[in-house]
Parts: sequence; structure tokens; C-alpha cells
Amino acid sequence: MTFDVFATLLLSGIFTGALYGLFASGLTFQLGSLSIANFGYGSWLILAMYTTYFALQVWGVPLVAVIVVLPLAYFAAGYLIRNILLRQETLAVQILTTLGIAMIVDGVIIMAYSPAPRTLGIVEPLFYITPGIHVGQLRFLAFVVAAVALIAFQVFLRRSYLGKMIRAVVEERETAQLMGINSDRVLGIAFGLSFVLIAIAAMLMIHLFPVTTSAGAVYQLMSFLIATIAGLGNMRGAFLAGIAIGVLNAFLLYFAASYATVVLFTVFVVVLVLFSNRTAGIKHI
Amino acid sequence: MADADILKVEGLTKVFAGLTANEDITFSVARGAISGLIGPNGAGKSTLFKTLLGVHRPTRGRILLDGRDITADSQQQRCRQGLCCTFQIAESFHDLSILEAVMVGAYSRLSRRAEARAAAREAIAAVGLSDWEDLRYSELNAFLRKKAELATALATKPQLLLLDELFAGCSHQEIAELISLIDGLNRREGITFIIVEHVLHVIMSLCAKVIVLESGRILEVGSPREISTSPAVLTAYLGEDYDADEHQKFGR
Amino acid sequence: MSFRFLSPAALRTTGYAGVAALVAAVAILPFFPSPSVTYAMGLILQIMLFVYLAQAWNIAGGFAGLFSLGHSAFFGLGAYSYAIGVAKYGLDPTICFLIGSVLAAGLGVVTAVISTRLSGMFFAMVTLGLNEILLNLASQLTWLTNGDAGTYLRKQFTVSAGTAYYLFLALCIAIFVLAALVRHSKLGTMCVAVKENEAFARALGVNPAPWKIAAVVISAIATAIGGGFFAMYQGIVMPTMVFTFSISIKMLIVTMIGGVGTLWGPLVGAFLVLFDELVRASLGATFGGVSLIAYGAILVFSALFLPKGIMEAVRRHLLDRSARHG
Repeated sequence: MTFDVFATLLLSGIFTGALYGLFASGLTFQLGSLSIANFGYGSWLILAMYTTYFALQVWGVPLVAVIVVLPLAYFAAGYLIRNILLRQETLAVQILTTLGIAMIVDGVIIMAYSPAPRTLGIVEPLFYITPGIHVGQLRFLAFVVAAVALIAFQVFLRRSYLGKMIRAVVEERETAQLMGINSDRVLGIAFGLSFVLIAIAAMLMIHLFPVTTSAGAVYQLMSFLIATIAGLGNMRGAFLAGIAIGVLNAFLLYFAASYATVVLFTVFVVVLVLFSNRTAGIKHI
Repeated sequence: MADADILKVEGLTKVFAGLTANEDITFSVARGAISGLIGPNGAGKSTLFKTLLGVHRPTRGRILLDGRDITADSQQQRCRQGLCCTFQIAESFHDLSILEAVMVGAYSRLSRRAEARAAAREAIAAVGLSDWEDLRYSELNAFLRKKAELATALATKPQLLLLDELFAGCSHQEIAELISLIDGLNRREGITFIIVEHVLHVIMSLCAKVIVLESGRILEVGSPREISTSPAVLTAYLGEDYDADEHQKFGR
Repeated sequence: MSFRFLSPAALRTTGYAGVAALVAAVAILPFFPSPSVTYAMGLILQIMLFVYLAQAWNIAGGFAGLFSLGHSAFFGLGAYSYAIGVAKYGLDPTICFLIGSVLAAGLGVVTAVISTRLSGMFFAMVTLGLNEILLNLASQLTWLTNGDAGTYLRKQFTVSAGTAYYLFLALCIAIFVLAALVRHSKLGTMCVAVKENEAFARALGVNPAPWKIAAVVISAIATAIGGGFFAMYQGIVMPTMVFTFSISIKMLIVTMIGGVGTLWGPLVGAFLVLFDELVRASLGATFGGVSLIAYGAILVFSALFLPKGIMEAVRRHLLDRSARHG
């Protein structure tokens, strides 16, 4: 392997990985901060990808409108799901409820969009750093958007009034309630915001990858893998872990494309088992 | 020759991530005695309790059961040697019937189902729950749950039984019933008890010896009378909680 | 104060009589051939497959509380062992089932050991991941599995629908007997005890690991055997046909609806499969999404309102009634 190939793969891995980090950050936030194990995460991600595809390709909606409407719709969906269906906190109920919601979402995808794979089929314009080393421009854009979105979310949590309320409720729910904060509403908003992250990630992803109905499970597991490596609730960690997985995946695809998924999930199982001490503090089933 | 002391604890120290929960705890418990373990919240009672049971490994020190060093033994080995407990919040096994829950204890020393069932029935009868054995744990009231948990521990045929706040939340009448139950078990079966308790008149009426913990160390060891008059203990712990009249009422 | 309720013995007798009548009805149905009976037999076969698989899941997931979302891994191992064994290597079917069982048992041990380190959702995720690994292997190892095209079985290695019908009836009876034996043995008591309160069980001298491993191995082998017979009946095994989440989730949902950890839950929950098959039959294959939506809605509903399943609700109801009348 030449240096050029190496550098190209590395850059591609980093930029794609940032996107992985973005799509895993919502799960990280849900799991770590909101204590919600969302087994329907992958389904919501592909629903947003399919919806973006159909909006742009079939319904002829301008991209700007999608960028405005989809995150808002996802925010509403997240808020309603949290406050109607996920008020209980036992893990068994959460797993079953989110799985059930995932099946409904999958069913909607099949009925509304048909299970056929969809791709925007964009031939990604390349940007040449040297004659041999290049990066995809869309990937670079994804990297920038992912970084901006995650930094913005962090700043929002730390600086804004609402963000501070979310953190107060996450860290000290009872105290927050005593101080008159409506914790259900705040948690609903927080869950809604994690859905906004899903929508943003999905709108970027459909420009880079094809979407299939089976991709949901893969994205679900990858999000979980990244969240575990990062340490639950650690969103900056999720971004870096996403990049690590992105780089690993880029090299796997180059050297052993057909076994990339196998290796990735083997890493997943091993990481989960080895990092199990990080599961402390998560409610048991 | 059997040791006169069933339990000896020597220089037990437990440090959690730099935080010393128990420091240099040394005491012994005579066979067939009922001892109390008291101390204000955060004194290290539950750490000591869990270290004795083998949930935690001590940082330093030794635990001897019946003269044998059990410091490195697993919970299973300790149970087989006659050490058992009830937990602070009696939550046992929710969806098992009382009979089956108590059988879990019996299975620790018996392998056959019929034997375990017979032993479980015996333990259930010993606490007076025979009429309820088909009901589930979750279908009993708090007081009966405590008795069921006691029966489960009894089914392991313990020599030394640790009771963690068994009396918490009981009415006076229920406390009196539990006291006579434990007293009877102690006399008839010769079971040694260590009682971790907040309800002080239980300690005062049942225990021959009281160990007082404060800030992870032993503050004082003595008879209930000595403890209740010790100035150090009074200031550290008894304070306004202790009611002399109540003591009189329940004293033996 | 004393609780008196419907005598458990009477209740049990009624229950057993009902099950016996059901088994008898299913057994004699093929003796009245007609088009509608043939249709019904197809439905019943589907139901029996999932009753069997649900009960197999229940032994690990219900009794021992190991919330697996990847039991299709065991199912697929069994199916592929049979298909590859007879079709590619010309092995004796019994040997194939043995190989499938050994492979499933091995994966079961791994899964159970992982479960002693991971709890709840992490364990569920690992089981999902294990299944995903096997799915990808099955589709990539083309020299062995023939990849996504699938492994076909020649006629002599398959069974007719009629034979499969009785085969699965026998399997169902066997798995219920097995589950009853497990539940009422020391193994069953220990598994439920560890599931409900591991700390207290440990204090009572229970070492959880061997019991968990035993439960998972039994469950895995039973699932693999089901997979083998499934392959025998289908005549073809493809990666997405066996290593699929929809099989894992159906095993779980049927058990959950009926009553997870109860002996009869998997049977009670089986009406769901019937419901699903009828929905699909009446709406046709184009509405594949409807079945998913219906399943999902039922799952959400039951998680919220019947978290312990129908069997548990029935028990509550009987207890309340007897408390009032007794």
C-alpha cells in the first residue's frame, strides 16, 4: 500500500467517522444522560434517510425545506415518544417499547417507501490535496457539519437556560423538581433534541450512502458500539470514537470488504465485554 | 475442639477508591450469643456487613469462622460453612412462591428436590408461615416478607446469621413477635446472631454484646447497659434517639 | 387472616384437560382432509413452530432472565448444520443435528459467560451483534453456505407438510415437557432466584454462572434443533431466512405476550402468530409493513399495559376474585 492510498483512506475514514460520531451521539445522549435504551434508534435513522430521499427525489421538495421541516418533525416525535410511551423507567419496558416502536417505523417505511434500497446516486466530487491524495467533498462537508452540530449541542447544554435545565434534571432530578422544574417536559425536550441529531445525521448520510431496510440494525449496533467505546453520555467521546470506527471501517473496506461487518461486530462484542465496567450506573433489567 | 468464638474479625480494613469505609475492626462473637452492631448512618455498618458476607474483599485483615480463615472464601463457601444473612430491604424473590423461595436456601446444602422441599417446609414452619407457603413473595405484606426472608436464610441451616435491619418499619407488636422468634431460634437451634439495627430497644432487649461503630472504626464494645451509659456512645449515637422509657417497656 | 383462592389443584386439572383437548384436536385434524383443513394445517404448523421456539427462548430468557435478542443465531446454526451436512457432505441427518446442537451449545456457553459480565441492555446488544456476525458469515462464506443464494436440499432430505405437521406437534409437546422439567427442577428454581435477586441468591450460597450456562445451553440446543427441522421442512436455507431479527423478536414477543417465565406463556402467546398470519393472508404480501406495524403496536401495548403477560394477568384476576369470594 502506498502512502497516498494510506492517506486517502485515513482521511476518508476520519471524515466518514465524524458522521458516525454524529449519528451515534444521539444514542449516547439518550443512553447516558436520559437513561433510555432506545432499540429503535437505527429505524428512526433510516426512516429519516428514506424520507429525505423521497422528499428530494420523488416529491421534489427543495433541500432547504427538508432541512427545516425534518428536524422539527423529529423533535416532535421524540418529545411525544418520551412523554407518552417512555415515562416508565424499567429497562425491560424500555427495550420492549422501543423495539415495538422500531417495528412500527419499519412497517411504515415498507408501506410508504417500499423496502427497495434507495440512493441519491451522487457522484461525489473529489478534492485533491496532492495528485495522489484526495478527499470526497461531501465527506468533508459531513465532517464540518457533524463537528459544528456536536459543538453547538454542547454549547447549548452548557450555556443556554434550557440546556442548563436539562443538565439539572439529568443530574439531580429530585432537586430540580423541588425547584419547580417540570422534569417530564424538560426530559421530553431533551429526548426530542436527540431526535434532531438523528435527523441531521440522516440528511447527511443519505447524500453519501444508499439506504436499505436492513441498514437500521447495522446503524443501531454501530451507534451502540461507538457509545460504549466513548463511555455513555460522553458526546465528545462519541465524536472521537466515531472517527476511530470510521478509520477502522475504511481500512477494513479496502483490505477485506466482505468481512468488514464481521470484524466490526466482533470488535463490538469484544469491546462490550471488556468495557463492561462502564455499564455501572445503568439500571439493570 | 470447637472454638468458643464462632466469629473472629481481626484488623479488618476496607478502602474504596481511597475512601476508608472500615478501619482496623477487631471483635469476636461468642457461639450461641446474640450481638448487636449499631452506629450512626455512614458509620460503616453495611460495608462491614458485606465484607463479612464476602460481597467485598477486605483491603487488610482476617475473618475467622469457627476458627477457619474465610477471608478469601467466596460467598458460596461461606454459606456452606454456616454464614448467612437477611437484607435490609426484604425483597427476596418476587415471583417465587414462599415455598420455592425458601427452597433456594435449602438447595445450598441439599441437591434433591424432595429433600429441599421438606427442609424448606421446616424452615417455613419455624417462622410460622405455613399457611402462606403457596403465595408469592410479592403477595405478602411487609411483615410477612421479613419472616419469609428469615425462613429462606434459616433453610441454609446457618450457624451464624446476620440480620440487616430486620426490624425497620415494624409496629411494636410485630417487633415483639420477631424478638421472641429470634430469641426462640437462638435458644432452640443454637444459632448465633449478629443484628445490625436502628431500632435500639431491639438491641437492648436481645443482645448480650453490642458493637458500636463510628466513622468506620469501633467506638466501643460492651453489654447493652454499658453501652447505654457510655458517654462516648451517648454523644456519638444515642443522643435524642434513645428513649429510656421504651427501653424499660421492652427490656427483658 | 387467610388467603383462600380457587384450589390450585382444580385449576391445574382444568388447564391440563384443556391442553390435552387442544393437542388431540390438532392431532386428528389431518384425518378430515378438505381444502380448508389444508389451509388450517399450514397455519397451525406456523403457530407450532413459534410456540416451540418461544418456549425454547423462554428457558433462557424467561426462567433465567437472559434477555436475548439474538436467538436466531442458534436457530440458524441448527438450520445450516442440517442443510450443509446433508446437502454438501452427505452426512447422516442425526449427525447433522448433533453438529448443530454442539455448535449452538458452544455459542450458548459464550453467550452465558458474557451474560455474567453484562446486564440488561448490554447483553441484549451483544446477542444482536452475535447474530449479525453469523448472518454476515453465512452470506460471505460462499464455499460453505453458497452465500445469499442459499443451500438447497434435495427431496429425500426434506419432509412433506403433513409429516412436518406431526413433527412439530411432537416437538411442541417435547419442549413443554422439557420446560416443565427444567422449571420444577433445582435448575429452574436457581435460575429464577438468580434472575429475581442475584445478591440475595449469592448470599444463600448460589453460584449463578453454572445455572445460567445450563439454561442457555438447553435453550440454544432446543432452538438449534428447531432450526434443523425448519430447514428440513423448507427445503432451503438462506442467510436472511434464518439469521434474522424477525425470528428472534417473534420468539420474544410470543413469550412476552403470553407471560415471560411462565410455563404456559409461550402457548398462550401463540394466538399472536395466528393473528399475524391472518392479517398477512387477508392483506397480501404487498402489505408486508402491516404485519410489522401490528406486531409493533401489540408489543408497545403489552409492554405498557401487560408487562408480565396474559398468564400473570389471569393469575391476578383469579387471586382477586377468590380474595373477594373466599
